[in-house]
Amino acid sequence: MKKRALIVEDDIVLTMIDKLYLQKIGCEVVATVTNASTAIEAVRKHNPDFILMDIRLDGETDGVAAMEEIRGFSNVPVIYFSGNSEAGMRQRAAETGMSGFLVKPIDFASLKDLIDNIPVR
Amino acid sequence: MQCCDNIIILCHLSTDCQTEALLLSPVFQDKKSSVNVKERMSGVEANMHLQSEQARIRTVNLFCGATALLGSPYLFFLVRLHDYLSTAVMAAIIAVFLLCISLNRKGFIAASCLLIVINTNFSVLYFSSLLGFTSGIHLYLFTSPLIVYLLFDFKQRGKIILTFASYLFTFIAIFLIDKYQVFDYKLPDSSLIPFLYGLNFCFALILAFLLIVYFANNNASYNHVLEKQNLFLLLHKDTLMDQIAERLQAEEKLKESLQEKNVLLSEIHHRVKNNLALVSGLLELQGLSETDEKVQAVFSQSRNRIKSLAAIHESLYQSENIACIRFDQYFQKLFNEVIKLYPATAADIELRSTLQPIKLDIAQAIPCGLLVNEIISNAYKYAFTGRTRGLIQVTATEKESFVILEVRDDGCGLPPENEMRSGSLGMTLIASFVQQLKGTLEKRNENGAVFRICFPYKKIPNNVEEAYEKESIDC
Repeated sequence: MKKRALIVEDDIVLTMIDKLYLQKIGCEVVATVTNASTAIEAVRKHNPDFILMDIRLDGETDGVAAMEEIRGFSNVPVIYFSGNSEAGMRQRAAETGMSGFLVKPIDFASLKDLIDNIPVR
Repeated sequence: MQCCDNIIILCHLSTDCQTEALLLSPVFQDKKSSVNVKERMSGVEANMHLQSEQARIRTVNLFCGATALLGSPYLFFLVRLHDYLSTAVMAAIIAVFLLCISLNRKGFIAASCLLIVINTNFSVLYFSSLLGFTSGIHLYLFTSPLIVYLLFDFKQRGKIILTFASYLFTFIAIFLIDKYQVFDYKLPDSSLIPFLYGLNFCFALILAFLLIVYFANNNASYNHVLEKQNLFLLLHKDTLMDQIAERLQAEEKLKESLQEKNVLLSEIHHRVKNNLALVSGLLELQGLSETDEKVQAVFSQSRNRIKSLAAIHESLYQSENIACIRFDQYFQKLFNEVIKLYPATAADIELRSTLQPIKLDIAQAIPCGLLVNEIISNAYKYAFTGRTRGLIQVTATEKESFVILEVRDDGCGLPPENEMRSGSLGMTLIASFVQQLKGTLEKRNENGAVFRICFPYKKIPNNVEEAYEKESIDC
């Protein structure tokens, strides 16, 4: 059974690459969104098996803040992507119960390992 | 500004009326004037001090002149007594007082004050010894507190105490000389005593009066200057308030500008990282669609080079100062990225590093990072073929303005020079990066391959280094 993914990323081309990769490793991408509010809506609507969440998004709210809100109604696993590996940011992300934290340019092999460890819901 | 400089200079030279006129002039009342009020205030204070000092010197001169004038009748008196030695002494005393005036005019104030103290003490002691205690010469000593107040500032406590002590000593000496009749007095006629006493009393009184008039006048002028200064402060209170408001506004603008720059920097960083991620992702996808392992390895190596650049970029972004990065911290990130690319061998090959916390500027950090990336990748790929375990050691030290970077492994070693692939991209890149660093490369076999790169250390300027130290402390 295919794992269902939601991609939250503000860069459309990167979203396309992530989507292609996920499809290549046998996942289904249920939606791709670029900001926090649409991400929250997409989680409510699609109830994905996991989220690939960029920290920096379109708009004021970042990925961690969006995830904090999602945690109010869902315990969906999340893998964060970030442009930097700052300890403070990593700590904030960890507090939302993350499954992984990858620094851009992401290593797809590491991403695959993380996805493999996520159970199908 | 030029206008106000002129005003300050004019204040120094001006009389009281001129100063007042200048303080109340329209330029001073101009709220928009950008002239530093503090400078003006210090100008007025200096002017006040100067005026007070000039008045004091004028009074010292007046005192010397009056004393010389009051001493002149004694010359006739002493000539009548046929005491020519004392006449000469009196003339000398008068001359010294006149000399003091000359010294004051030339600016030798301290020397003049010292001469006045010596001269007054000596003249009173000499003529009291000559004419006796009853002649009333000692009455001049009662003006000594006023003389001290005239000659010295209250801050010069040592001088004041010494001067008072000298007058007290003179008075005691006169008293003792009289009591023990040390000298024979020259007065032929005792009827002259009341006349002399009266004369000295009057002269001492005139001196005291002159001095008191000076002090009263000086205080009045001092108060007048203070009043003007208060007026000046009142007039400029609004200007100061405006200047403070302007500065606060400017500070606010600076903060906003800094905030904008930070946002911009963050945005650029985000864009660069995303673009690198894009190229890396495209290579990854392209590599996945290839079945040939060799082709996949080429893509993998290219991705690795991009990640080395990304690691530099990230280190710079996280650094407080974007002009330099810490060698050891940066290399640690780099090693983590390289290890990920060789998962099959990385578990069995130990990567050990001994790195001094050398600070490299960006121009050296980039080729240096890419260089190490090439050498380590090379070792992972070729050094341990057919081996289950291995060791790669990286050391970086700073010595005599050079950075010595050594990467060694305990693998199969480098092939002989003639067997090396001359067109190998890896070796070509290594040579180019060394050239870019203006360094030297030494390759040899010593229980494995050894690469030793030596390049001149570009010292980070002090201000940058201080920021760096701060960053290290914060960490």
